[in-house]
Amino acid sequence: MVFTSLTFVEFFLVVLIALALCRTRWQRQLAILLSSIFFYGYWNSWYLFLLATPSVIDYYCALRISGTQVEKRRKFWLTFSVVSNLGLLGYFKYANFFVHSFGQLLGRDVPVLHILLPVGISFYTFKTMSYTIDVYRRHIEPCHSWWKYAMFVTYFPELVAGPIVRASVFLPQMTRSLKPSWPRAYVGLQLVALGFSKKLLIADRLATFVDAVFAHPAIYSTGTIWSAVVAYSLQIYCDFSGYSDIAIGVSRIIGFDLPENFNMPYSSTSITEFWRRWHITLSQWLRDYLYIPLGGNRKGKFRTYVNLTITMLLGGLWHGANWTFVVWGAMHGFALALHKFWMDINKDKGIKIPGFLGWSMTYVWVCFAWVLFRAQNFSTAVLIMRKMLFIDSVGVEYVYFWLFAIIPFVVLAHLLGRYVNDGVEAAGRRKMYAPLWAERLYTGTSRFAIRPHPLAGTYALIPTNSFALGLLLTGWAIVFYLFTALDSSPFIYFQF
Amino acid sequence: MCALELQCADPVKIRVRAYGDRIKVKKMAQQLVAEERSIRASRTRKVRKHRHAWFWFFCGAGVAVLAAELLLHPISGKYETPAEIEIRNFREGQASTHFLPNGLRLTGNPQIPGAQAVLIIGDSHVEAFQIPDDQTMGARLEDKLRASGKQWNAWQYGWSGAEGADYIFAAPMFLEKFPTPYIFLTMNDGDFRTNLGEQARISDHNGTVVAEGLVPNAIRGREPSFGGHLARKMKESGLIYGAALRFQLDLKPQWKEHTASAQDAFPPNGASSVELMEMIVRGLKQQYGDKLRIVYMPPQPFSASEPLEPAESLLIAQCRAQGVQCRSIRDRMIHELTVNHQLSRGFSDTEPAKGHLNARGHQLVADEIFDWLNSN
Repeated sequence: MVFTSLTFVEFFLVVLIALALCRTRWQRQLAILLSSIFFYGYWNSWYLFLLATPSVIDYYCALRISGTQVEKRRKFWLTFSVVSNLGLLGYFKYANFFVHSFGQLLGRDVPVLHILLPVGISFYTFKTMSYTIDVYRRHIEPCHSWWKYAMFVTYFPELVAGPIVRASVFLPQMTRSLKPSWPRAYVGLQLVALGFSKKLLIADRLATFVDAVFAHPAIYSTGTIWSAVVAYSLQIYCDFSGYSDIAIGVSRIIGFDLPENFNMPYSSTSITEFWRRWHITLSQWLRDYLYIPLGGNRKGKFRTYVNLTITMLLGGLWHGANWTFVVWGAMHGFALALHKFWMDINKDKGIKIPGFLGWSMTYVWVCFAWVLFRAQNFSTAVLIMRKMLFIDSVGVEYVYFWLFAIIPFVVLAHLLGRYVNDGVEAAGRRKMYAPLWAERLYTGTSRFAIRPHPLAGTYALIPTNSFALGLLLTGWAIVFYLFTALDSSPFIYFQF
Repeated sequence: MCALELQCADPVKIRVRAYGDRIKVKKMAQQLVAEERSIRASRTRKVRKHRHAWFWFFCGAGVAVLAAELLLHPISGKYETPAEIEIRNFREGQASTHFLPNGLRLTGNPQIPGAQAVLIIGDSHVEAFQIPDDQTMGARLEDKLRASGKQWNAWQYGWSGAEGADYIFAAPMFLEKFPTPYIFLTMNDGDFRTNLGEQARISDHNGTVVAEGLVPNAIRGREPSFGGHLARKMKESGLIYGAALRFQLDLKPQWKEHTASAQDAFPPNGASSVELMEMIVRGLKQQYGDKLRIVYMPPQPFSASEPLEPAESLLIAQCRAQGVQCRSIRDRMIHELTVNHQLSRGFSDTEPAKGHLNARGHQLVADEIFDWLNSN
């Protein structure tokens, strides 16, 4: 059940009606749990057994961990939880990959296992793993109600493609009444509309061009290949952040606040900054549960670089069971280590790289890495990269209208968002309310690319002026009606 | 010590009872009264503003609609006059196209009265809402013929959704309305999927292929435009026309697909089965006779080593078996791609290499027909 399908709209309306009809919080929580089970089971009912496994194991492990002060036992239960989660993920997602790679190494054809990759398994195993680790670290108290814990694990808005919500963020919100209210719906609907626009107006429009070029890269010229790669960078951003917006919006309507996942990633002037702004919940997860346990930056400079590379390499593998993803992760890890190295040697010298140069280097590197992320195999990726580097540059020149119509829009949203966000943050540092102009600009225009700062007040996308409201809503409705891509492709991150 | 008591009504009455500095108290009272009046005025303004909120909302909506109309006007709309029909399209590519009331697509060239003509028929590829008049296959063919000294006319007649069955059904109309020694039928892989067309169904009756209309008094060929004066005027609006097409061509089929049950699903399409292909080619030959020449337009090939599409190889085999002249523009498309680096399908706002023939594709069809005519 994809968010952009009519089926999901019907499903969500039923959920809202059920929530409105329920009288107590407990009933509403139960309604959400049942809805989540139906939502996930809609893909394949067998997946539910898979989802139930971490729900039971991690719940029990967390209770055992908190129930004893003996370090050995705590470690045992933690290890049990982590191994079971990774085992689940490893079998369903990586078994074929490793078997196939091993076979290739031996030069033999190894029979492939017929395993169906369950939707969202990467997301919910990370979510449940973080729960037991947090309990082990005594960052949170374990959840004593299995129903509530199951609701946390199965919560449908973010179940299949994030944002990766931690128990410390979700479980405290269980005390909310969850009664549908207009103020929450008002904000949530705006986010949903924004997410739909990003997905259907931008991502799916660009997908047709990107898919065609990546299917036959050999026939296209360097210019066309570059525009396809740029288009893919925008497609994946609008696809995934659009999904996150819908998830956050839907969740807001229900009554839960999910963490933001994107913060103008393409405005980054360094690769480190990029990873602070791209898929924020995953970056934070990798930092807290992989990079820091590996030693972080506490074990010397060289070890820091190695840790960064390993973290990103595994982060790449998390995305998909293919060597292209591993190399994609390695490219980012290498860039992060290089940037860290530069920061270290530059600490005393204080050489400043101009912002535009930093931005260009970051964006070009990210684009090169996206080629590996998108290409079906290495040979295609290499072919595309050769074309990008002006080797065999002759081919079909294809100027895709929608890309050039969309780019100014995205650039403007990023620039405005960044400008206003900086203003709001500066005001926040001075412990002042955001200036009115910043708030208006921010809320009116930049939600496209950035998350609102708490000081910016509401999420209000919609202007309070009636004339502007009529203009904006009608204009949006016309554009949405006429130009949305109807043959919508599934969200890219659903495959992970 | 002072005490201040205010009673504010309309008209404002102030009663000040003060102890101490009377002047100071009076000033304070005046200040308070002013504030009270300002608050009242603000409230009144708010109420008025709220009362007019819907008015301003609709004003804003109206401006948005107007702006959309102004933007879409040059690229969307249908203008019908007794002499010709103009259709502006932006759904795939962008072009302004012109048709005669009898359904012929204009070529942008002056027609030579009484001159010999070539008729090109087909589906939306010949209707070609995406291509300006002077770049259509007919226009290009006319240019080439006239440049080579043949003062001929090229007639082109296409209608969206036409399939094999429809061409057979429409044959009497073509033969009667457009007498010409050469009829070039452009076909593609979608024309052989079923014995059902948009308007007709074909069946085999003792060796004779019979095409019957799907509804009583079915129209052969393009359906005439419907609606009165108001409907015609509405179609001239870029926004309304664009919105109507969007509903008709995109949303309605999607909705049908969403609500369709297994029972009302379209009859399963056998992938270009031999029997169906044989029947269509036989039917076409029976109807058009020796005038018929089939031009096959395959999907965009990417290299010469690609195998032929099943529909293409079947069609060529059937045409050979039944003595129907048939050619494919595949080799020309490959040459165009590998030598000139041009795609024959797709437009700058759609998926590359997919969809209808673009201007290059039309040129290739014209080249094929021209060479064919010269070789005869």
